[in-house]
Formats: sequence, structure tokens, C-alpha cells
Amino acid sequence: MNGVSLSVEEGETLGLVGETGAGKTTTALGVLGLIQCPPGEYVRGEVLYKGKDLRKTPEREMRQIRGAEISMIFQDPMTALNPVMTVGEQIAEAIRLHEDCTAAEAEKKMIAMLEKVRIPAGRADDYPHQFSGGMKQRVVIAMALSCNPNLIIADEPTTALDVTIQAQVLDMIGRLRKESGTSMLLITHDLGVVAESCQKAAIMYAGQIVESGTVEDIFDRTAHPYTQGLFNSIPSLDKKLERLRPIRGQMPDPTRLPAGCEFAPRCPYADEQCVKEKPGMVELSPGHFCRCHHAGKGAPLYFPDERVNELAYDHGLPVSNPGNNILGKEAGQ
Amino acid sequence: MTQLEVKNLKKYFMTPAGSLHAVDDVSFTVEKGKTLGVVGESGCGKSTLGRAILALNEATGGQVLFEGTDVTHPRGSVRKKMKREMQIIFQDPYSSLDSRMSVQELIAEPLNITGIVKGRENVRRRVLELMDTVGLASRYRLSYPHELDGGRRQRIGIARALAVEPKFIVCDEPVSALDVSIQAQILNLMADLQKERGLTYIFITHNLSVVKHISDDILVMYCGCLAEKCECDDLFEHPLHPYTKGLLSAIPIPNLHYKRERTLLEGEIVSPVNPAPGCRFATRCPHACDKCRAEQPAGREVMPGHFVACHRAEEINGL
Amino acid sequence: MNELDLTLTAEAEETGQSRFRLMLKRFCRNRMAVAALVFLTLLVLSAVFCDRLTPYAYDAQNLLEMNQTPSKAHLLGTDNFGRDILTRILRGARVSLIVSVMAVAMSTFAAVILGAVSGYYGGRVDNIIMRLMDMLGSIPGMLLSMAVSAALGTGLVKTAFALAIASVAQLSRQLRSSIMLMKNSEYIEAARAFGGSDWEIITKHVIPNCMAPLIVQISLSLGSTIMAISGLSFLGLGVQPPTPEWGQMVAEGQSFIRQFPHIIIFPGLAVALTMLAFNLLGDGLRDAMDPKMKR
Repeated sequence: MNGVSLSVEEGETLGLVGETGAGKTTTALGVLGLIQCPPGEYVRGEVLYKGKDLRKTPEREMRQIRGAEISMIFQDPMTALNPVMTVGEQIAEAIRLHEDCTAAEAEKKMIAMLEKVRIPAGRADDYPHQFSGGMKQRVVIAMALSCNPNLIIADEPTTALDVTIQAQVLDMIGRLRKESGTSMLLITHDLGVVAESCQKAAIMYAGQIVESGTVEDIFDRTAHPYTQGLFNSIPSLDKKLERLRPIRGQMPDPTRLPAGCEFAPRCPYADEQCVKEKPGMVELSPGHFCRCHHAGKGAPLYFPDERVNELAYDHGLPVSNPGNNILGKEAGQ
Repeated sequence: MTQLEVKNLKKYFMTPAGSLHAVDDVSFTVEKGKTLGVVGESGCGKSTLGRAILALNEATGGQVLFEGTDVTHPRGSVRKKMKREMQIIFQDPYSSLDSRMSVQELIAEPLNITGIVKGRENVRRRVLELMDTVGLASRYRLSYPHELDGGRRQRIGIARALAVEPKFIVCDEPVSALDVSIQAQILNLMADLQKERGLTYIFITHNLSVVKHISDDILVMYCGCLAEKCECDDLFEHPLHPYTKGLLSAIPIPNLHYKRERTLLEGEIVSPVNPAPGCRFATRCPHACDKCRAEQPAGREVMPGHFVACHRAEEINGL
Repeated sequence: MNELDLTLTAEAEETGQSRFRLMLKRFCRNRMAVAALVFLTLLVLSAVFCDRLTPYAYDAQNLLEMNQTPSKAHLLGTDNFGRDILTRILRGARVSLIVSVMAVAMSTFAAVILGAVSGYYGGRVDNIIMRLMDMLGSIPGMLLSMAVSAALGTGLVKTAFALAIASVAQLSRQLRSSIMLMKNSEYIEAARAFGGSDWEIITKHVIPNCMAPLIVQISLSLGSTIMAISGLSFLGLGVQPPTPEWGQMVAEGQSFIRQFPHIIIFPGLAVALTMLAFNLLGDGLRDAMDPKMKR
């Protein structure tokens, strides 16, 4: 992760999008100060929460903030729940950790929370393994919401779930968030989820935000070639395409990042400047940022046949020329 | 020409809790050179269906006919022939590759087992050809799977399946473990190979946009049973089964201007262990009636080429 | 050359190496394991050449030099018969190593067959084999070895056999469980999809993939067998005098423990160090052979 700047306004949802290894989860853990040091290390930067720098907040105060003001929903509900405690006990415990109340009050609140996530109160005495995946995730959400946090960080909350269950859970998160005016940082790799439940979005690539703005900026006025590539890679449900136009090559190894723009080796627009120089963030329109030397000059994209390209990329040959028949040369080796 | 015909296929597993009906009475046909997409949520039996067709898990009941030959319980020469003509690409390109073998050894394995290519030099040449076909640079010949990323590993999986020159491939969630940009590369590769070699695919996935992109026909499974089967576009434009409707409306679409009606499915999938009589979807279905709870609906051809397993298909769709 | 090319070249160099060299590289990075290997190599060499390494014979008694503490002439001192302890420890290594290698070879051979058959096929075969192993395993290992060795009598091969029987149960059960885990993995299924026979699958995938845990286990059981031999010999059931064996040396020296502790300290140390070395070697091998542990 490298030079990430994000801001979530009160009551809105920011979608953080990126592929495996882009640094999404690290960003979230960084906000909560949960990165293990070593091997992790905060080099510089600050995390401002309501104007207060969380990075300089002492650990004891941080613990109060985690959970009470900022809470987190993890991808795998099973790892977030203790298998030997009933779900009721776990929610009640989360409430009592941050709120000064009696056991009876916590119990009452716990049942109210369960009803909010549409789990019958009678199931409070069941253990996590007696719940299905979707219900477990709802229990985790109930735990995260139990202390009325101001910010929820949800790390791929629905990736492990089936589509119909995912729709239920997203719908519920959205409803509860609206009711309580909570802000949310939603981490996902699914642009569809972002389109449906976020107001703002940020795209991450190789540990950096490459484009950020409102969802309209990202979806309708896509500026960064990587974002364009992501959209081109998704098979569309409303249009019939003969071929997909994927981004060629692979994500760079985070220990051996290219000297210039991180995306340059895969970018169809890359030129001399991109290979040598790291691009800075450019503000294209108020609130719409893009990290690209060519930002805003969006020419129509043409991604040549990726089969040829995979080989070209492997050989370090120029890939801009789709006519280069490397396949033929390759076979003779 | 019909290449594969599946008749009333059943696969039950005995579990301590009772008999698990993983695949229950599923019938369909696949034409040569076409792709049948099999969609469903986790645990609906779609992977078991694929394995039962290939006799990796032999079926409990029913029949699988490949080009007219019964391959449900293959033995002897039928088995040998079938293993060459019917292949599988696995979901997880990591666990389906023996991590101790290099790329070259991995691709050579099917050649050696089936003995279709003899002699070290010939095997080596064929391996390089196959690597080239799937777009793997030959310098990865001596690499090990863990040194490669998911996309390249899946290319190895495809090369292995192609090695025996099959006519028919079951693709069991081949792109689900991959990131979208890599997923698109693999989908294009698979489409190219199908065109070049006239392959027939059964493409199992839970990803509806992927299945729409690649399939000619789609079969929707719910809890071990067939829910709906028809042509790809037909399914997306006129879904008839209430489950299909719920499924389609649940997919998040990466387009801000694509508005549609949402029918949220309430409730959870019922357990396929000792299922109660009646339609398995009845517990979540907004249209369920007494008949649905009492009697299991069979797949019916409601419109030409459009099969639905629902008692009230005509009624609720105004047909 | 730009950055991209550099990373690719580095990767090519890395992957171009043979598996064995990579393994060796990884093994050498583990200093403790290398130290253990060096120690064991020296031990084996000195066991082979023990007659030429010291000027004394292992059974030469010298009543004038009884119970000497370590000196220049006798580096580790002498025992109650005036025999050189260093010579006897080196000679004892020969016995211990031969017997433990034989014992582990026998038990591994049996365990691979039993474990592979019962793990791969499962069902009734598995049930029968495993119940038999349970019966064997329910008797404490040492007791079993003692009983077998009392019944068979003493001698190198018989002692090895007695020790092998005691470790078969555990080894085969361990192999069975790793094979059962592996049996359901997708690459076994993939091999079956190509029409591979059971034999091909067992020999090409199942056993090679169990090698890593097996080799670690072999290394560990070599260590514990050395301990067991010493135990048997200590009780007088293993190797018979005058052939020196570490456990037997400890037994002989125990009556002098107050006055001359060095008589039993050095053989005891030899047992402990050898066991430790085998354990460290086992750990090092496991880390080196598992390609997933890379970096």
C-alpha cells in the first residue's frame, strides 16, 4: 500500500474496488491501526476521523473507537464468530464491551438487534455452526451495528455468499445504514455491488488509488485505463459481445513494482513518460481524481488479442502491435 | 446432432444425517459444438452433476449417453474411450494440479496415462504445442504451479484437458477463482478453442453474467433439481420459473442506468438431506400453493425448447 | 533494459533451476538443520572408521587406568574396566545406527504398504488393517519391544525387528490419514478423469505427496529408535556385552554415578545429541521439501 488517500463523508458509502492483492484489505486494517508491525510499517500519513488523527491516538483510546465508533465486517463470517459461544452471548458481549449497561439491558438490546437483521429472537441461544452462511453474516452485521457506530468498514461482506443471499444482505446493510445515518467503507471486487450500493467509489491498483469520484464519475465518465479495462473484462448482461476485451498481463509483484506508472506494463496507452515517471493525481472535475499521465484524453480503446499478448508480455516485446505474430515464433522453440 | 443425453440422472450420497439428494432426476441434452451453462447457488448439485456425467462419482440412477453409448458406469474399453473423449477443467487451478510436478510433467501426465503420444521427444513436442495453444510461454515449462498466478495455472488445467483431444469438456467453475481481468482472458481462450476444435462444453458456474456470455443454452438448478432449461437469451428475457426470476434480479449489475424490478427472495435454501415431498423451492416461493408443497413438479416443455419445473408456470406468467 | 525485463529475467533464473537445487538452497538456509546434518555425517563416518580413529580397542581393558576423568590420553576418560569411553561411544554409534536404520526401514516398508492400501481404498480393508494397528498401538511401545525381543532373543536383526513392530502402528496410521486427506484432492480426481489406474495414481501422486511427512517421520523415528535401542540395552535386552552400546554403557556406569559421573554422562549425551540432530534434520527437510514454504 502506497500513498492512499480516501475520504468518506458522513452518511455516505464509499466503494473501494480492486483485484486480489491490490491492497484493499490492508487499507482497511490501516485505518483501524490493525496492521501487524513488523512486517508492516506505517511509513507516513494520517488517518483523520472527525478531524482527529487516529494514527496518533493511544492504543487504549483506539480500542474504544474500534467497535464503538468504527466497526468492521469481515469477509468470512466464520472467523469473526466464536464457535463455542452462542450468537446471543456474542452480540451481548459486543454491546457490553462498549456500553455501560447491565446484563439484562444488553440482552434486551441484543434481541432488538437480532430482529433488525431478521433473525428470530428464539435463535439467540444457537451456536454459529447451526446457522447458514447468510445468517452468520447477518449475525456479524448485528454485532457490528450493535454499538451504533458512525463508520462501518465492510471487507467483502458478501463475497462468500450466494447471489440471492448476497442480495438479501446488501439490501439489509443498505436499509440499516440509511436508518441510522452510518457512513460505510465497502471493500469489494464486484463493480456491480458498487453500482448498487455506493455513492462514491475508488479504484485501487497495486497499492494505489488510481481513480476516485462519485459513482457517476467512475461508471459514466471512466478516465483511468485500468478502470476501463475492468469494465471491458466483465461480461455484460444487457449486451451480447462476441469477445471480451480483457486487460493483458498480470498484476505486478508488489515487491518489484515498475519504476514508472504501476499500470504501464499492461496499459494500451503507455508511452515513454509512463514507463519512466510515476503519474500524480489529477482532478478532472470537482471530486473526480485520476492517476494517469493521459487522463482525460480517453481515446477509443483497442485491446488486441490477449493470447498473442500474453506471450509478447512474457518476452518483454512491444505489445502495442497486434500484428506481431509471436505465436508462430514461439512454437518453433 | 445430440452429443450428450442425460436421462433422469440421480446421485445420492449417504451421510450420517440421511440420504443427501445431490442430483435428483435431471434430464437434458447437449448438441455437438454447443455450450450448456449450468447455473445454481452453492450446494445445488451442479458440480456433482458434472462429476456424475464423467463417472468420477458414479450415478445412483438414470443414464448418461455420449454419442449414443451408455457411459453411466463405464468399464473396460468404453471407459478407456470415454476418458479420452470427455474431459474436465476444475475450478481451483491450484488444488487440481499436483504441486510437486512441473508444468511440463503436468501436461505430459494425461499423454502418458492414455498413451496417445509415445516416446519422450514426441511427448515433449506435444507439451510445447499444447502450451502454445493455451497461450503459455514455453519458458514456464520447468516452473511449478505455485510459482505461477491463477490465470496461468488455469491455462495449465486447460492444456491438460486438451491433451487427450476430447470432444466434450465439463468446465467446473473454471473462472470463479480468478480476478475479472484474468477471467476475461480465460473466457476468450475457451471460446477460441471451442470454435477451432468444435468442442462441446458443459459450463458450470454461479456467475450469471459469465454464463450468459459463453452459453448457448442454460440449465438452472435448484437444490439438486432442474428448475428451468432453455436458450440463453430466452432465459434472460423471459424467465418462467420464480426462482430464476429471483436469481436474475439478485445479480448486481455494474451499470448505473440499468433499472429493473427487484424481487428479493426471502429465506434460505432447504437442506437436500432427506428432502420433504413437494417442490424444493416452495419454502421461498412467493407463488407456492398446496399442490407445490405436496407434489414435486417435473420438468415440462412449456414453450418449444423451454423446460420449466413448476406447477404454476403458465398461471404466473400468463401463458 | 527496463524494469519489466529485469523482473522477468530474475523470475526466469529462479524458475529455471532444478527442483533438487532449489531444495538444497532452501535446506542450506536453515542453519540448525545443516549443523544437524554435519553432526550426523561425522557420526556416521566415525562409526565406520571408529577402529582407526582412536589408538585403543573398544574392548581392551586396562585395569591400571580405571575410572579416569577426561585427559589428553583419554579424551572422554575411561570406564570401570579402564576402557576408553570415546572409542566405545564411537563403536556404539555403529551399533545404534545400524539397528535403528534397519528398524526404521522395516517399519516404513510395512507402514507404506498398510497405510497406502487402507487410506486409499478405505472401507472394509481399511477397517481390518486399522483395528490390527489399534491392537498393536494399544500396547506401550517399549513393553512390546521388550516382549518381542525377550521372545526372539538378542541380536542386531532381532532387536531391529522388535523395535520396528513397536513403531509400525503409529507410522501407518499417520500415512493413512495423510493419504485419506489427499485422496479427495482435485488432482487425484483429475488423474482419474484421464483414466489413470489406481496403481498409477498411488505411485505417481499419492506416495510422492506423502514423502514430505514420511521423511520427516523417518527422521524423527530414527531418533526415537536410537533412544529405544538404548533403553532395551540398558535393560539388558538389546545389544549384548562386550559390544558397546550407549544405553548399555549407561547401565554399566550407573553404579559409579556418584564418584565417576563422566562414565554415564558421555554416552547419555551421545544419545541426546543424536536424537536432537535427527529431529532438527527432519524439520529442516520438511521445510526444504515443501515448495509451498518457499520464501
